[in-house]
Amino acid sequence: MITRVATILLFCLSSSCLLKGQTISPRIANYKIQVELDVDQKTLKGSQKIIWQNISTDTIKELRFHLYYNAFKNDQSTFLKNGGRDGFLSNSEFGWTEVFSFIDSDDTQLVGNSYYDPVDDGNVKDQTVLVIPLASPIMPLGLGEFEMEWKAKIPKIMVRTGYNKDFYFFAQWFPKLGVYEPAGMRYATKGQWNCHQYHSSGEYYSDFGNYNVSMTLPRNFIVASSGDLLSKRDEGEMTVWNFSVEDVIDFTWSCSPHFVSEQRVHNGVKLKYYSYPYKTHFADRYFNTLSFTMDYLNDHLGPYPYPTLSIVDAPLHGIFCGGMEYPTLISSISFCFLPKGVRVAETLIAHEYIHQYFMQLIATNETEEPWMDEGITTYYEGRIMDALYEGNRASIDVLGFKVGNAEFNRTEFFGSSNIKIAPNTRKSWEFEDGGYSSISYNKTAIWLKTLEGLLGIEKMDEIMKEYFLRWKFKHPCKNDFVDIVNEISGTDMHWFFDQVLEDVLVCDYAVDYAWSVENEETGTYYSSVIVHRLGEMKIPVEVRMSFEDGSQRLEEWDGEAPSFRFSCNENSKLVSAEIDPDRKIYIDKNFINNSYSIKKSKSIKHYFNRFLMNTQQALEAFNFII
Amino acid sequence: MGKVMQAFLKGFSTVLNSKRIWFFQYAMNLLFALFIAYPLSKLLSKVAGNSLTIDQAIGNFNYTIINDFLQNYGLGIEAIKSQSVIVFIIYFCLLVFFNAGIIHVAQRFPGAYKFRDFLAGGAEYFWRFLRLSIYFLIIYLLLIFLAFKIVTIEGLSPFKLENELGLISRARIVIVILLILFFILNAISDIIKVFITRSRDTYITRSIVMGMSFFKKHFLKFVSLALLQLGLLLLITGSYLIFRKFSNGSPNWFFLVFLIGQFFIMFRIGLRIWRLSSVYQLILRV
Ligand SMILES: [Zn+2]
Repeated sequence: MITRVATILLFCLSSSCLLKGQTISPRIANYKIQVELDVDQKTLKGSQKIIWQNISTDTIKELRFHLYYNAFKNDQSTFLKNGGRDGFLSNSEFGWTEVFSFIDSDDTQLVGNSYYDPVDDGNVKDQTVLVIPLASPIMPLGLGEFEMEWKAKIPKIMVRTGYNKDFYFFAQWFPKLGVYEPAGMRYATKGQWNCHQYHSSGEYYSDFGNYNVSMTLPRNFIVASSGDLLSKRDEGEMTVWNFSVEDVIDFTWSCSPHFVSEQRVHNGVKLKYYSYPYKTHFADRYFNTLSFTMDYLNDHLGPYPYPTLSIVDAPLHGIFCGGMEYPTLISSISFCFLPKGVRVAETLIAHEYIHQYFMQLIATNETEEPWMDEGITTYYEGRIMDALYEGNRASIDVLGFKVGNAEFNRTEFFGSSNIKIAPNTRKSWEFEDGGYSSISYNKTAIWLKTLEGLLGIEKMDEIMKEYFLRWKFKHPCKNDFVDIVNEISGTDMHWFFDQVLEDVLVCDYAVDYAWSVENEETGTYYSSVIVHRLGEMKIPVEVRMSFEDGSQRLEEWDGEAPSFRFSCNENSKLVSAEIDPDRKIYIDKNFINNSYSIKKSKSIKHYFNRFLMNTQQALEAFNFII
Repeated sequence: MGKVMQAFLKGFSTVLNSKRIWFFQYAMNLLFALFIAYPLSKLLSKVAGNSLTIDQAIGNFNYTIINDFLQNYGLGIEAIKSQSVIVFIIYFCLLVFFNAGIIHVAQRFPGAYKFRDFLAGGAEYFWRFLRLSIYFLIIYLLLIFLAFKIVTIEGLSPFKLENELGLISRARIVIVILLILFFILNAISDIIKVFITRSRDTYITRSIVMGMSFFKKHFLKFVSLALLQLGLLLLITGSYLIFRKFSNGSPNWFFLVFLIGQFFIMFRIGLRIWRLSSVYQLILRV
């Protein structure tokens, strides 16, 4: 605790020293980058000035950089090998980054002593982490200033970044510093660099800082970028675009000669939409969803602190860069052949915008704790989309087929091949046998909705607001989230997190049987309900008994025992019993067995009718071909 | 056009004259449908008959409940699925048999016929009709394959495609062409069926060639007749769908929904008899 307080103290001091005044983020890793795009050679040539603030009491003897493009350097890289994507790129389509100069403020060239460190798996073919030992260590609370020169071959797009035809998307494109975690921060027991290799799942964890980026590229290209455009000037056949953004954890840009753009302003934020001419009709769908999402998060968490947000709607040949989130720039996917009721574009834009809060503002470590990033985002995606399109039709609403967002995510999880494949706490690269998205995205969203059910939506909102307030521009971990839940709810919820986060338990409560017997002497009815806990997960549940005269009785069960019987004497006959009648326990895997009506449902004959008629029509459909 | 109308109306008289055949086919359709619908509703009743969710899901598509059912009780569905495949294959053969019987009986119209003539006709021409159906099935599949190839001529890889617009416009054109081709092939196949029943050949090749050249010669007449039949089918189907939409979810409408559903299937079977008999009548007239 002492180390944590000390860290926070130092952190505030250092921020004010570095930036002379109040800033919204600690501004630890700051970059001024000049980059030149060669569209013929598909290369980038960059030089960057880095100002790094040591906020710890440690003496820093080395710096660690992510060279993300080296994930595409050969098919033996950890990214391509473990992501099942070896053989995807041909030799000319591989990508790489080479740092050929790194000079400190004393003009000492340090690149000679640099080396690659495959920290996670020891794979020597993986060159995605570069370590540069320093000639002059950075002292506690000191500042390091460096000049770096690098060259990169842009990979052909296969995921997130690269080029295809004349569309370029530059994500994770420059040598980027890892995060130095002083003792007491997250799980660090001593000062350490947190700089993982680039894996196929999970990509974010970096420090806040300011970016000033100048791109030089052919004059016919249009740039979509993080931040705001400061200047644009022509130099011969080329144009230099200069963008700047403050207090973010990354910088991303995209360019194409075909981009058309449209701007709107919402709540003082300049929304810049970049698309291809043939799909500009999606603009309204994006803007409408974005406006709603922005308002929702503004009300439920807090304000979006940046003046701009760029939206890139990638063309079909660039879709593998679509559906991505970067600070102040998000990308989506839209397909002209899908009916309007299939809301891929809307869902993605809402999802990616929510990431501005979970990962960008609350800068969790996606590589180590993907649920804190993707899971919380998916939870809010459900809340927002289902609020925008009420009546369970947020994901699909076509010809009477309606699917809501939260229910879609729930089904994705329960429909996955193994719902016990891994606990939520697994690191993103450790999902070797699959389950990354069903666990990190879907399961988290389901248990967060269950937590909302248990605590009530007002309390949940209070928790999330506090979480945002306390942890924006910082790097929280699981314990920080759990601590806030416990603190604000006023209850120790470890019993819940132990089950949903740390373990792989299944939740399934069921009403097995219910009956009612009349006592002829008193005229009352003795009614009983037998409930079962079919899964391993133990959650307190409510059981509602409904009687013939319309009265109801709500019982509570701690949900511990494998089964339990409720009995009562009432003036009316029991009609039905329902466990968790308000569907608070969204993680229950089967809602069908949650209720029991003493009389069989009359609807069965309607279903039979429907099955019969549809089969009759289908049988006669042969008529069209014979 | 007069001949087309005459044949169309005569075809209808044949339908009225073949009530037993009509009803028999309806009964078989109902029976075969029961082989699938009954176990399915039995399973539903067993696993969810006492659940309150079953009432919540009636009348509208409930994704959560459907998936909970499939994910938790899917094994029962699997067994019904394999049974359904067998039912559909047998019914396919039965339809081939019925069509042969219908044309056989239509040739006796307006004279009297016995129900066993229908069965005898079905038996006599079954294998030839089955072969014809399989040939046409292969042609349909080849056309679908070809259509797919044309639509995806630039490939399906998003890496290679400039955008999806070409794909969409090609798909639109190809689907229209495919529907027209299916419509024409269906009309030709009906003519060939009549030629098969008039030939003593074991092989159907000659009937196919004759049927095709006959269609070519009287293209407009046969297309007009097929259009009349298609128009009628679309009209009644449209009305039925509107009724279903209107009545959807209302439990009080159970018997009406059931009744109208059965009338609709009877209409479709009647239309099949009508179609084949009027084609026969038109062949007689041109
Ligand atoms: Zn996401």
